[in-house]
Amino acid sequence: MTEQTFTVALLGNPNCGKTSLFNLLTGARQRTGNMAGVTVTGREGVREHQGVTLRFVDLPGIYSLSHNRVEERVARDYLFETPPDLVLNVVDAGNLARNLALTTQLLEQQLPTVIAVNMLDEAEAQGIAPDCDELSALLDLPVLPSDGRKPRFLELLLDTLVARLQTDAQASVLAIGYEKHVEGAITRLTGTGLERWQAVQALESGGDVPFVLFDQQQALLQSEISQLESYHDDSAAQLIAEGRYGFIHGLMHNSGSDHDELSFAEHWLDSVVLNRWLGLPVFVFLLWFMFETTFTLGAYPADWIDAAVSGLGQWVADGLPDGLLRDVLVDGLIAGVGGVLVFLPNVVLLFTFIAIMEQSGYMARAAFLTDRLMSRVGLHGKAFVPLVMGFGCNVPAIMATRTIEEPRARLITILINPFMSCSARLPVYVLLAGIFFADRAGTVMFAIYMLGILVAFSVAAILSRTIPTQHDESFIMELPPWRVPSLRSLGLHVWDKAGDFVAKIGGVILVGSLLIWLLQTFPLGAEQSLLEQLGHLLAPLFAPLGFGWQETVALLSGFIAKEVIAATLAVVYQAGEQDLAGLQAALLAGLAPAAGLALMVFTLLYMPCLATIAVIRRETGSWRWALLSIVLGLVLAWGGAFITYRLGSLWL
Amino acid sequence: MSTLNWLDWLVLLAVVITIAAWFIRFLRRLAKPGCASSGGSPASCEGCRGCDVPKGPLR
Amino acid sequence: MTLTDINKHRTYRITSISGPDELRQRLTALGMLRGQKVRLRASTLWGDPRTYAVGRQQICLRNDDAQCVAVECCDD
Repeated sequence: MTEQTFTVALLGNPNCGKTSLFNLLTGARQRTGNMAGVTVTGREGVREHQGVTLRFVDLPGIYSLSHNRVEERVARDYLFETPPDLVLNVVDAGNLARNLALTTQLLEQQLPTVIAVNMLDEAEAQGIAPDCDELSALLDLPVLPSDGRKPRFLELLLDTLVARLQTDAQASVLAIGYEKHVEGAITRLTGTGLERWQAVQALESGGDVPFVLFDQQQALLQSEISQLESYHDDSAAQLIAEGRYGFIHGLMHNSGSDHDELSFAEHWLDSVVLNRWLGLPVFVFLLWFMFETTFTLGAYPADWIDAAVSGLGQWVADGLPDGLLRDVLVDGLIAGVGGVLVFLPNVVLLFTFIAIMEQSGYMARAAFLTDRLMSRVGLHGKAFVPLVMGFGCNVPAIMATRTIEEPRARLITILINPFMSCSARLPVYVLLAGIFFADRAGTVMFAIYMLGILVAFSVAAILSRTIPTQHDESFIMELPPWRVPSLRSLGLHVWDKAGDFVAKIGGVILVGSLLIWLLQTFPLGAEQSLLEQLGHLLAPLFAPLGFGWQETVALLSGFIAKEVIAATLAVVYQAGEQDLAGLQAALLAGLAPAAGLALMVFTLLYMPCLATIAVIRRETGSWRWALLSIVLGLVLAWGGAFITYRLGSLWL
Repeated sequence: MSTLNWLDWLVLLAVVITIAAWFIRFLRRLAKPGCASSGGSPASCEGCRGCDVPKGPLR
Repeated sequence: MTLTDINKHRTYRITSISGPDELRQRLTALGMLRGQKVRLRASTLWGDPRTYAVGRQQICLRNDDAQCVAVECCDD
C-alpha cells in the first residue's frame, strides 16, 4: 500500500465541540502551527488510519465564511488558497439550524465535506436529535454521529473519512434559490466570470473576499449591493441569510428534525448565575471559593510532598560525606526545587478550577456579567479570555490577544495582562499567606488576586484615556449551554499543566536554585557570601518596605521566572533546615507580618518575567512597550508594597 | 579555596556548566521567532500547547 | 419597539434589523432574521448587556446594538 497523505480541515461553529473532537482525532500528536502568513494560529495534528496518513487542521470556530473579522478571514483564506482534501464540518446537534448555515456555504463552494454531528447525547435528552441518515440522503454526503468526548464513534468517522478521501467522491452542487432580486444580482455577477459561490460570497461579505475581483467586477458588485438595499430594508447579506435559513428549515422539516422557531429550554443554573441581583455576588463568591479551596485542599498533598522532599534531603545529608557535593544537593537542589515542588498541588488545583469554569460554560457567563465593567475601563469584550488565561501564564495569554483586532485595545490588554497574577507566583502567595495568615490564608490570596484585577482595570482605565481606542467592536456573544465537563478532557488538561509545571522545575527552577546556592556558598568561610553582599548592596532600596537582603535577593531572582522567588527564599533561609515547617519558622522570625503581606503585593505587581517581556516585545513590535511594562510594574510594586507595609504595620 | 578537594572542584564545575548551558539555551530560544517560554519544554515550539488561540465563546 | 424595550414574560418577533453593516452581518450569522421569535432571558445589574433567547441559543447584546433590532409583540 502506498503511503498517502490527506489533509482534513475541521470547521464549525464556536462551542460545537470541535476542539475535543480534534483532540480525539489527533491524540497526542499535535502542534501549533502558523497559518500561511496569518497572525491567528491554528493547530495541526496527524493520525494514521488504514495505512493512510491523515493530517488534521483545526480552523478557528466561526459562524459564517463571509464575515470580515480575523477568525473568519483565516478560515476563508485557508479554504480558498490551500483547500484541504476534505472538510470535516462539525455541527452541534442542539443548534442544528444555525450550524447548517455554515454548511450551506461549504457546499455552495463545492468543498468535499463530511458532517460530524456532535453533542448528540444532549440533543437526544431534549428530544430534538436529528436523523443523520435522512440528512445524509438529502445532502448527498456522509453525515455521522460523533461525540467529541467519547471515542465511541471515532472508528466509523475515521473509516468514512478515509473511504471518502480515497474514492474522491464529489458532493452534489448546492444551489439555494434566493430571493429573486438576489438571484438577478448573482446572474449578473456570474456573467462577468465569477463562479456562483463566489458571487454569493462577494455579495454577503461586501466584496471582502480572498479571490481576485477585477475593478469592473468590484464596481458591479457594489452597485448590486446598494440596489438590493434600496429594494428591501435588508442588506444583501441578510437577504442571502434568509434564503439559507429557508433552505435549512425545509431540509430539517424533510429530515424530520425539530425546527421550532423558539424552543430554548431554561436551565435552573442560569436563574442563579444570570440573576440580575445575584449574578455578580455569585461570581465573586466563586472566585473566593476557588482560592480558598486551592489553599486548603492543596495543603494535604503539599504536606506529603514536603515530607518526601525533606526525607530525601535527610537521606542524602546522612549518606554523603562533608563536602560541596552534599551541600549543593541538600542546600541547593533539594531545598530550592523541593521548595517549589511542594506547591504543585496548589497550582494544579487552580488550573483545574479554571478549566472547570471554562468547560462547563460558566466562563462565558462571567464575561457577560463583567462586560459593562470592562467596557467602562476601555477593555474590549474579547479581552476577557486573555485576561483569565493570565491567571495561568501570561505568555499564552498575551498571544491570545491576537483575536482583538483594534490595535490600541489590544495593546492595553497586553500591558495590563501581567497584573493578572500568573500561576508562577502562586507558590510565593501560598508560602507567605500560610505563614502569616494561617487561618485566613485562602481569603488573603483571594484579596491579592483581586488587587491584581483592580490594578489591571485601573491601569486600563488610565491607558485608555491617554491612548484612546478608535472604534469599539460590539460585544455579541453566544452563551453556551451548561455542560458537565468531561472527566477525560479535564484530566488531560490537568495532566498537561502539571507536566508543564514539573518541566519548569526541571529547567529554570533547578538552574536558579543552583545559581543562588553558588552565590550563597562563595566565597567560602567569608563573613558574607556573594549573594549576601549583593543583597546588602540593594537592600536599602527595599528597606522602607520591610524587606531584608534575603527578600531583595529573592525578588531579583524572580526576574528570570516567578517561581524562583519561592525557591530562593527556601535556599536563603534554610541552611540547615530541611522542610517546609523549618522554612516557615525562619521566615516568621525574619519578617514582620506586614512585610510578608508587602512582599506578596510586590510579587504581584513588579515587572513581568523575562519570557513575558520577550512576548510583549514580540506582540507589540517594539521594546518601548516592554520597557513600559517593566517600569510600570516596578513603580506600582514599590508604591503598593510601601503602602501595604506602612498601613499593615499599624494593624498586624 | 584551599579547603576544597578534587571532588568539590568537580561539583563546582558541574554546577557552573549546568547554569551556563541553560542560560545559553535560554538566550537562543529568546532570539528564535517562536515561543520564549522559560519552561522546560522542547527548544522549538513543536511541543508547545499553551499558545493556542483560545476557542472561547467570544467570537 | 426594539429589543431594549422588551420584558421577560412575553414572546416577540423581529420585524427588522438596522444599523452598521458589520452588526447586521454578525446578527444575521447568529440566526437573527426577520420573522424570528425572540425572548428576553437575563439582564445584568446595570441592564446592559442583556441576554436574549433566539431560536435554540442565548445571545448577549449590548443595548447600543440591541436598539437596532426592531420587534413586535406576538404572544403564543
